[in-house]
Parts: sequence; C-alpha cells; structure tokens
Amino acid sequence: MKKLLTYFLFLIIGCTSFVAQAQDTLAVQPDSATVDSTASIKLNSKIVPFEELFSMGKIVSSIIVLILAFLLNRFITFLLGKLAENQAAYRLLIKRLIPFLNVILWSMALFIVIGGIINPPVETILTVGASIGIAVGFAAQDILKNIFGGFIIILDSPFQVGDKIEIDGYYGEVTGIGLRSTRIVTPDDSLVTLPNADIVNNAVSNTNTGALDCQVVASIYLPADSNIDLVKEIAYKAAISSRYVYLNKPVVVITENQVIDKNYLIHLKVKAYVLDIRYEFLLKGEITELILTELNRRKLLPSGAPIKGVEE
Amino acid sequence: MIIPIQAIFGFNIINDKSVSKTIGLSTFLTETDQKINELPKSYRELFDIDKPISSELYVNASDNIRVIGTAFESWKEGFPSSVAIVGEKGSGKSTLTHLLKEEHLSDEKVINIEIKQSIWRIEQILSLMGSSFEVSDANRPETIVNAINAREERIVVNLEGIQKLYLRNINGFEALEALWLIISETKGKVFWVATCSRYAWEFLNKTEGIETHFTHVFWTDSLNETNIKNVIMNRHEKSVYKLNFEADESTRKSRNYKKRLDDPKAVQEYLKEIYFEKLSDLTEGNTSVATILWLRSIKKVEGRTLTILPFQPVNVETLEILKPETLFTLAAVVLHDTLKVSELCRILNLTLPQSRVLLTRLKSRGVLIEGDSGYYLNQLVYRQVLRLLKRRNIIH
Repeated sequence: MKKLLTYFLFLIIGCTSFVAQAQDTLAVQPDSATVDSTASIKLNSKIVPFEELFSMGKIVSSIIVLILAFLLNRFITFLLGKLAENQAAYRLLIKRLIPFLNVILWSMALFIVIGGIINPPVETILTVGASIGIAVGFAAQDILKNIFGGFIIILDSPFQVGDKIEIDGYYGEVTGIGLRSTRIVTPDDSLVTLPNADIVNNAVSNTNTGALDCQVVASIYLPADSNIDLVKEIAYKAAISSRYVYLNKPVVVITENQVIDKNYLIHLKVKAYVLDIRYEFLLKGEITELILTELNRRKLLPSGAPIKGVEE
Repeated sequence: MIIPIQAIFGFNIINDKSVSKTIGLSTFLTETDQKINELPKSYRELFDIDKPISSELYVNASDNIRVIGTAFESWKEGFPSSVAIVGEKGSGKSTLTHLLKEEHLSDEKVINIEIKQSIWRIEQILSLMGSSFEVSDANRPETIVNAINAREERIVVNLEGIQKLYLRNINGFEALEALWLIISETKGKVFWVATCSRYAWEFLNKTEGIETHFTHVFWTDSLNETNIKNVIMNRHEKSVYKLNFEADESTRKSRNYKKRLDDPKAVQEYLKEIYFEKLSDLTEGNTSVATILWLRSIKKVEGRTLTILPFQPVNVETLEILKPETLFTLAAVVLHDTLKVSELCRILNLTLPQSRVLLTRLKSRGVLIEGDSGYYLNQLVYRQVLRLLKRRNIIH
C-alpha cells in the first residue's frame, strides 16, 4: 500500500510538471495558426507554477496526512483485532469491517491530499488521470488487476476475514483482505499471500461463509464385513461426545462402498459442525481417535488390517 | 453489569477501586459469606434454598402445578402420560415436585428415586430400578418392564436428576437408553415425573431426542421480573423486618430519582422497582441465584430495618478462566450438574491428574464447590459463567 502511494505520488508530480510545461509551450507560440489568442489567455490563467503546486509546505502537509492516515489505520486495525478476539460471538463480524475501514480511510486521506492540500486545477487532474491510465496500461497492469480484484472481493464478498477458504490448492483462515492481496493462514501455520487478481479468476470454496461454526468431515475406512449399524452408532456417539462439536446443527453418519486396491471397503463419513472454526482440526482428530479407540476396544477391527483415518 | 471499555477490547485493567463498578470473585465470595453470616438467623432461614417451602411461598409461574395435575388426571383416565420438569440448577424443580405430591398425589402410591451420584452404566441403572421397584435379578431392562407391568396397582414415580444418568462419553449413554425403554414400555402403569437440569436437557434433546419420551414438559426457570420480586417478597413478608432501599451512585444522579426526592415514599417505591428490575436481569429467572443475591444486597440491619443497597456484580472475566480447557471443564460441569475427577477425565478424555488439576484450580478460585457428589458450580457465579460459555458458543 505504501509503495502504491509513493508510486501514485511520483506519478502525480511527474504528470503535473509535464502538463505545466506543455501549457507553457502552448502559451508562448503567438504565431501558431492552431492556437486561439483567447484560449491562450484562458490557459495562462489555469497554469500553476510547479513550485506553487508542490511547495515545500504542501509536500510536508501531504506527508503528515499520509503518515497520520497510516497510523490511524494501524490503530483501528489493532483495536478492532483486539475487540474481535475478545468478543467471540462477533469475531467474524468485527474482522470483516477492517478491510472496508482501510479502504475508506485511505480514500479519505488521498482526497484530503489531492483535493485539500495540493488542490490542482481540474485540467491537471484530468491530464494526470489520462497519464496514469497510459502509465498503468504499460507498467502496472498486474498491480491494477490486483487492486480491481481487491475491490471486487470487498464488494462481492465471496469470503470475509475469519472465513475458512480454499483457493488454488491453499486452504486456511482469511486473516486479511488488502487492496493488492489476500492473506490466509493454513492449518500448519503458514501465511499464504494470494494476489487478488488470481482469487477473482479462480474458484473459491468457502467453508463457513461468515458463521462461527463450519462442517467437519471425519473419514474412516473399514473392512466390508464390518457391522455397519454398530459402527454407525459408535461414530455418532463419538461425534456428540466431542467437546468441540456444535450441536445446533445435525450430526450425520453416512457410509459409502469403495474399492481400493481391489479390496471392498466401507468408507465411513462423520459429518459434524465445529463450534468455532479454530477447533476444526481438533474436532476431526478427536472424532477419528474416539471411533478408532472404541472399535479397537470392542475388537471390531481385524488386527493388521490397513485401517486408516483419512482427511477429506 | 457495566464492563469497562478497556475490558471489552481485551486489555488488562489495573484495578482502581474508586472507579471500579464490578468486584473480583475472591473479594465477592469472602464478603458474601461474611455478610450472610452477620444476618439474623431467622431471616437467613427464610431464604435457605435447601429447605422445603410451603405452597404460599412458592411462586407458581405458568401455573405449573395445576397443569401437571391435569396431566395426572388424564393419566388416571387411561391416557399414557409422563411429565418432565426442566430448569436450571436451583430454579425450584424439587420444590415443584414436592408441592405436586402434596397437592395432587397425596392419595397415590409414589416411588421416589433421587439420583445423587452419576450413573451411566446399564448395570447401575438396572440395580437402582431393581431396588426401587423391588425386582430381584434385574439384569435386563425388559425384566424391570415386565415386573412393573405385572403389578396390580398403578403408581407414580418421581425420578429426580436425569442429568446424572449420562456421561458425555462414547459409552456414557447406556443408562439413559435403558431408562427410555423402561419409561416408554410402562407409561400406562406408571405416571413418570422426572426432573432434569436445563442444559443437560437441551444437550440430550439435540442428541437423543429426550423430549419425545415425555408427553408434557414444564419449565421452572422462566420467572419474569414480577415472579422474581414475589419470590423475594413472599419470604421477606414472613419476617418482622422493614425494608429501606438505598440509591447507588448512578441512581442518585438520575433525573427520575431527583424529581422524587420530595416524597420519601415515592423514592422507596422507585428504588424498589429499579432494584428488582436489576435483580431480574442478573438472575434471568433463577430462584436460588435471586435469593442469594438478595441476602448479599443487605447492607446493614438496624433494629428492625434492613437497608438494601444494589449489589456489585461479580466479574468472572478477570479470572483468567478463558483458556479453552477451563471453559470446556466448566461446560462439562454445567451439562452434568456435578462432576467427579474420574468423570471429567472420561468426558474430556484426559488423564486423572490433568482432570484433578483443572477442577481444583477452579475450586481454589471459588468458581466450583466440592460436595459429596462431586464438584458443582458456585451459585454466586452461575449466571456469569453461563453467559461466558454462551458467548463462546460452547453451550446454547
């Protein structure tokens, strides 16, 4: 974001000086057939000297505003982060406000700098806008794609901060949605930064869609001759006994017939909801452990059989 | 309860007693014991929640006794009926069954089965039922069912404490499953009146569909502000004391208070009204919590006048009990009413030492109390702990 702003500021400076020079050139060509004398007078009245447009005072004021915006942004993000962690029930709701506030705050800061401090003439803004378009078209295509992607993510909301999503083979909790990229933390605690343009162009799977709970599927493969009713009962009791299970939504146990390495197997799936997405893997692990321990205790597993818990 | 803004954001607060609106648990507990012991014995006894009370003191919310009486009449006419009385711990379930026996069942043969210790194995419940119904060799639920159905007379069974008939463990539902079989097969012969604590009921309803085993369900913990006021005032009016309500700092600043200052009677009425409004909010319909907080609100006894000052709610947020394992331990205690170390170890799949540490740590902080049947939640922090667990999405 800081880099982006610096780039933007330099672009404004460069383009404005270019415009000022161009206008000076136009103004000193009295014999040119294409230039109307009245237009020359009008242009002269709009030309603002470079030193005046970017005086030391304006530059310092702009920098102060941007620094204040940066600090305020960090402070609000920190405060909302603390608030979200302390108010478990509203954690996701509070966290999803953060990207919105970031965009609003930076927009306001830029408005103050351009509109309030530098205050260039409309023609300058239009020219700079056109120059940015050309410059970006050639040099900053990817950055722009990501920025537009960021806006689309914020407006379309395929996911929010705090959701568990899967994109392009990466699965994890969304920790931040920025203008250029989105960050997720994977189950093994790696921080993955995904460019927003890639997210917009790929399919996104959202596990909890803003809710604190999400569905967890624990899978176990059993021999085909297992007592299915008994195994299903054990699996159901294992799920409802787990401390992490969210019982306002149903616990479902289903079985599928599968052939693996020419062996018929029963694929037992326990679908339950976790009370907080942060316990997702703990619930999956606990259900699997409880089922296998109980099946072993009741000697329902043949010794040496290739039984394994498989993560979905 | 006013929570400081810093606490809402999760910052640690350096306590400043001059500005603090809530007090710490240890201070609260020490002061509570001390203050209650200083009260006149006769007054304390009026509010003793362990003592059975007469029907005139009982606040019959939702007309429960009459409706259960109607269910009993229909059972006598041949409609298979069974009744469940559900409510939070200390909400008056036992009192209701006691009054029910006095008013409607005095001429009936009543078998009382009070479950004091946790029972979750099938042998345990068969043994309990066998001894209650005088059935020898009760090794299968069907034996009990046949023995009950073979009886000539129809009977009433008062089963207290269904919440102690299970353990939230993969093998902890055997006893309940046997009970459901016995209840469903004997409804014609037995009028079952069972009590269960609210959170166990809700858990069992979501997992086992407990509601389907009873034809009528009554709730005892849904007292409104007027009911809570009656609970306190019915008992208080049995004493010789007069009440003098004092205004706390925030009330003194309010316009409503200031404009009544010319009329002492109106001031007392106003203070009484806001006191019970606050008490009702804090207790959320729980009788025993209300009575304890009432005693805690008595600031001083002068002659025959009790001075009532709005209480300072205890703050459990500062207890460092927000760690997941502690919260899950508290949730387990709430779901089972009482828990022993060995039971917690089965519920949370922990070792005995780990379970012991968790329970004793909470006991040392005053959140849990150790009794004969295990550890249970201190009534003084019951409401606050429940709110905490609900906020964390652990109980619902």
